[in-house]
Amino acid sequence: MKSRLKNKIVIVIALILTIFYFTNDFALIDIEKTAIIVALGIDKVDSGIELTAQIGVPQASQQTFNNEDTLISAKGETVMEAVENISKRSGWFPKLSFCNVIILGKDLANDNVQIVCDHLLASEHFQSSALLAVCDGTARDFLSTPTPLDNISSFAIRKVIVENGAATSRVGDSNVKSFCQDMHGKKNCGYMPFITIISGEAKEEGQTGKEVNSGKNCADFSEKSGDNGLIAPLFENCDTFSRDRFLSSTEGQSGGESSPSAIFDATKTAVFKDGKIVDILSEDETVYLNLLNKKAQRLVLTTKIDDKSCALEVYKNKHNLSLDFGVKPTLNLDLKLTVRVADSTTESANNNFLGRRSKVPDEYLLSLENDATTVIKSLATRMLEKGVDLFGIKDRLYKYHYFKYEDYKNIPLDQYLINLNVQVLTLDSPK
Amino acid sequence: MTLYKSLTKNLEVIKKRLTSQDVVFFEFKMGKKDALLIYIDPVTDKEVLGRLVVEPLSNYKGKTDADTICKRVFSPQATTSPDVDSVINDIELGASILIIDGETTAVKIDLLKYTTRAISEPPTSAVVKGPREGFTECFKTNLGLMRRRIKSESFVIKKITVGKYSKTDVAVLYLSDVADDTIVKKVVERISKIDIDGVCDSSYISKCIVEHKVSLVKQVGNTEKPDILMAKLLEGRVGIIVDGSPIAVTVPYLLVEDFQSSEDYFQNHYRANMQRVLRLISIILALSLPSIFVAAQLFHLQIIPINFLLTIVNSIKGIPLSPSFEMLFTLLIFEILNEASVRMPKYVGMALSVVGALVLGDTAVRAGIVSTPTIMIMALSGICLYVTPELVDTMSFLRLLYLVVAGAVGGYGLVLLTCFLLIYLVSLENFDVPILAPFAPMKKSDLKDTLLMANLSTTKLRPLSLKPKNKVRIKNDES
Amino acid sequence: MMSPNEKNKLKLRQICFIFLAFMPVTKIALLPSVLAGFCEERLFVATILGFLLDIGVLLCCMRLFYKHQNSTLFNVLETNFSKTFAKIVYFGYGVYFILKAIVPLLEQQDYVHNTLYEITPSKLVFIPLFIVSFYQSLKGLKVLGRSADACIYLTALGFLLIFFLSIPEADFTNLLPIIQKPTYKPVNALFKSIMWFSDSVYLLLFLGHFEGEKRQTLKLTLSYLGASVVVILFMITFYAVFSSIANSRFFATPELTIYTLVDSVRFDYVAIFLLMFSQVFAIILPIYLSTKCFERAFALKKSLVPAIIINAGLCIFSIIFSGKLFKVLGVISNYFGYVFIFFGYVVPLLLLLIPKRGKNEVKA
Repeated sequence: MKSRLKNKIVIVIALILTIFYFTNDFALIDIEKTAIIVALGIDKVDSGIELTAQIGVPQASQQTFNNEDTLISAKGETVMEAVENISKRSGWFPKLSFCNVIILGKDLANDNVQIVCDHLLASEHFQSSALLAVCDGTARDFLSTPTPLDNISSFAIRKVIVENGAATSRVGDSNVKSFCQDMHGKKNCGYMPFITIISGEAKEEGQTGKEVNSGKNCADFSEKSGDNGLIAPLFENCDTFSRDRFLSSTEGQSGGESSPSAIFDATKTAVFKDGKIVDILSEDETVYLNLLNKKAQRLVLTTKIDDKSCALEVYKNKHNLSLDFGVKPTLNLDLKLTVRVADSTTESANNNFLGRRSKVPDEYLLSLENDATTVIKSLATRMLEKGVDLFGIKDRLYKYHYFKYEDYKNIPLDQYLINLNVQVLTLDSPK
Repeated sequence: MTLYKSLTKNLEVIKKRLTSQDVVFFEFKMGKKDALLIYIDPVTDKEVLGRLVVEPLSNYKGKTDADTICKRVFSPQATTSPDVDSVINDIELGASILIIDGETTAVKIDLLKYTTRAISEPPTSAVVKGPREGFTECFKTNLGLMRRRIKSESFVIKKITVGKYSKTDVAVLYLSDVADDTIVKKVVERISKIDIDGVCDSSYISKCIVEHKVSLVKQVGNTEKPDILMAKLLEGRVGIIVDGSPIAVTVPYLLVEDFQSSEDYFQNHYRANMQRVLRLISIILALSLPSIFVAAQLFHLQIIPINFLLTIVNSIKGIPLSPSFEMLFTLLIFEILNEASVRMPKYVGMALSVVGALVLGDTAVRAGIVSTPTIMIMALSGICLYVTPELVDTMSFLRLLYLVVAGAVGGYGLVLLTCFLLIYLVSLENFDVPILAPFAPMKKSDLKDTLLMANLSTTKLRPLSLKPKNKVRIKNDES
Repeated sequence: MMSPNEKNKLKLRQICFIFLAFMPVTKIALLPSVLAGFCEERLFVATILGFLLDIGVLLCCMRLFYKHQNSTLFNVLETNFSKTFAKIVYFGYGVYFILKAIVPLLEQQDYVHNTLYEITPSKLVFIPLFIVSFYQSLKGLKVLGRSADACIYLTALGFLLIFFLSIPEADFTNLLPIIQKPTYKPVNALFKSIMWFSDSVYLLLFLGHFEGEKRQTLKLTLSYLGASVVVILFMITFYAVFSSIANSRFFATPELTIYTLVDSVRFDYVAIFLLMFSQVFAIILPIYLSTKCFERAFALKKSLVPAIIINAGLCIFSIIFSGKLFKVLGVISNYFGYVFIFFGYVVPLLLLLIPKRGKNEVKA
């Protein structure tokens, strides 16, 4: 009797499982109906925001690495509404967990990125490790820009930021988590790479942005050539276009260029306070900000004396940021760089380069020291004047001088003195 | 019923009961008296019977009582058989029976001669290093192989006959000063209690002696090699050899046994450890790879790397089956091919592999019925399953179960199913020994020879999970 | 607690493993962010306070063990008071364990939905948990102990992987300042999150069901301490990674490791799945104890009926309150906090007041 009951229970469970198995009735969305979003572009428009999703589309060939992408954009008052619009109108379910790059448009950066970033952080299906960057133009245009570096533009942007940039300390990289952490922390400010486009020697950055990346062009073109294109614009609030077709339109306009030539540059850094962009750091400022914050790898700094350049490879960077509370509160910035010659156009340095590889002539050490001091001093002064706590003064005040925190937390940053100490040393050649 | 004094009457009675035509009734003169020799033709060594029994007795003129005759024949296996029933029984068991006119006790002489195959290396336990002898179907040969290896007075062989019609000899083997008495007693009791028509193979016995008649996992160990049986007896297990079966059964069984190979002990233990880890990985892959792939495709895309995901999306374009049904279909095809390749004659086997691998595999992908990753995953799972051949039965069923759960509920379902199986396995005991020992319950000293093994010289104790009487197996430590 | 059965006894090692394998895994989903919400970088202070109280309860239980010669709690109460009183206390503990199971249950449901299923699956996905729980309820305590024997490896490996992958992203200066002006924030945080603590009270119901060993108190205390250290380390790592946004990172275990695995295979999910095995058993444990308490309270011969009722009830509860974890959490911490304190801490202390009886007076 007991075993009969057991058997019946087993049969019932087996039946239920089989039904589930063959129906998969969990509001399940098939892999083919899923849009694998690899990057998001967010722009500000009058009615709210415009979200451009870059969707990875595998090629129908056997080549697994020859993937292409499709862009879908939709508008909404909030990020979630725009995501919903993408889903509602394209029929694809947007899968956000693969989204590794988020490009914010310049207009949005001027308005407020905080709300958007907070939403991305709060979304449970969104990876907070996704890289954040602000672009010089609209995000939609940047994502639709063809580049020779990769078939998918966001992959190329990612490479520039992570694999090329951050590794050499030339990019002030940031992800959703770290940006929000800084913004919600005592610092109340954050930074992310500022992306521009370099397109050949003849074109200047600003012009290139305009010429190559016209969102209007994209949409217009896709509307006109709906017969040839993959997907025509679907609805009023949702445009879909293929990067390939955009490429053709650019070809037509730019006089028959045979291959895409846009290359992304992320060496500048956008600084944010209270959710708004307040400053853009130059390439040099970005490098020294990184040298003051983290360990440098494969970084080469060039210094000049009388038009003769010497490239110095940073072997080691020792940095220390601290606070002193004497008569006036002081921010101490200590940077000790150990360098060796990487390459040079000067004879003296070259002799050293060939003979004792690491030994750097004193004049170049001094020159680099001066360069560094000038850049850091100007950066720090500017930031403190603007009230941007880029060096984490309040954070340090709380962590290391907790008992003075209440007294000093409301003192304006421009009241702080800057004590800068830069030292550049040469690495002796190995014995 | 006792024998009659009259030979004719005895002949009449026995002939009435033994009607089979292969029973030979050979009458001859023993001095002045008539004698009758009864034997079954195909299983008796007639030449030896003539030389050792008929020849010395034909000129014999002395006392003819059974005890005296037992001493006169040139066979150490001559005993008395007191009544008709035992005579009939002995004949059925293959003995030759001598009945002398005027005597009420018969003489039983064992001169069995079966045609058996030679001792060879068993196909399922082939080794590069180590003994290659395997058990045969011959009961005596198998016992002989064991006796040759264990020459101790503690080595006990208990014989029990099982089967109403087959009357199969079953031997229980153990080391009296090592094996736990309770376990031995239980084994003997359970075998003696088996009331069955016949025993075709040792698996009949194993199914009858286990505590849980319906079980997902096997509950007895088995081996085709005498050296493995010997090692198991030395650890404190009880062995069972069944006449007509080349597979010996061992109890109590621990799940970890199937991850061990005899070769592990004959080679460098680092290499052995590597192989054991490989076996474990293989079995995990065999069991979980298809289900994880299905669950990932249906429910957890985020665990698939983006480039591989795009490849999957590419490969499943246009495939009419859902990922779960596709995998189930591939598994079905795989099992059919597997079954066919075992049953098919060898000369067709080659053609089958061509058909299976090329026609079904490649063409199915080209035809868009199944995707390449699915075929690859199923093939890998299939190969991994055979790394531990002893677990194929259990694992192939569990693989199907995991696949169905993965397709129905996803990854969390797999976690819950594993938890369910864990509870099931930890509660499973046979002969009071938990099947998951020495992991659950944990026996620290037994862990030295499980999924990883220590050097043989440092494994001083027998597995304590088996409750051996004598716990120490290596006394001298020369390391 | 349970019908005395010699065969159904736990080994001391298994109790240690129950603490080590099942205790830390219930505290990694929601608790870190809840504590961070209440006391920011001092979340580990609240955790330490909680564990100190738990170890106190553990020592109380061991004192009872020595005092009453390893009698079951039921026998102690029956001998010193009356059978009815013992039944009432067991009924109370039955309810307490159901309450104790509710938060981890809903937490696990949300955790599973958030971390494993991008598209929120049907509530039915969670139902099989109750089949496993029901199955365990029918098996003995011995089986639970053996499951702990097996799960200890999974928990250890899971935590090792998580720590290994999350430490590169952690900035431990986020935990500064260690010494701060005294506030009641950690104490308040502990009170609000008390339902996650007091796991050592399980020992009270294991009394009479385990075999004594040498240095048993030390072994049990060390194992609880070990489990506590793992949780504290997790809290520290969690805050070191998330700092100012820690209070909003619910179910962030997979997120801890993601920064190290950008662009690579998410093998951190191995750790998530490994820990999930132990999490299932950690949820089952209070349900199982509740079943056994009701079995004893109602003097039932078998636990089938209470097992069916409790598991079916919790199943329905989890379906109704699916996705309402924070509401339930609010209700429990506001209205039932004292129930947790009473049964988790006060009762074990009160039990110490029961005088020691002679050997013959204590029922076997």
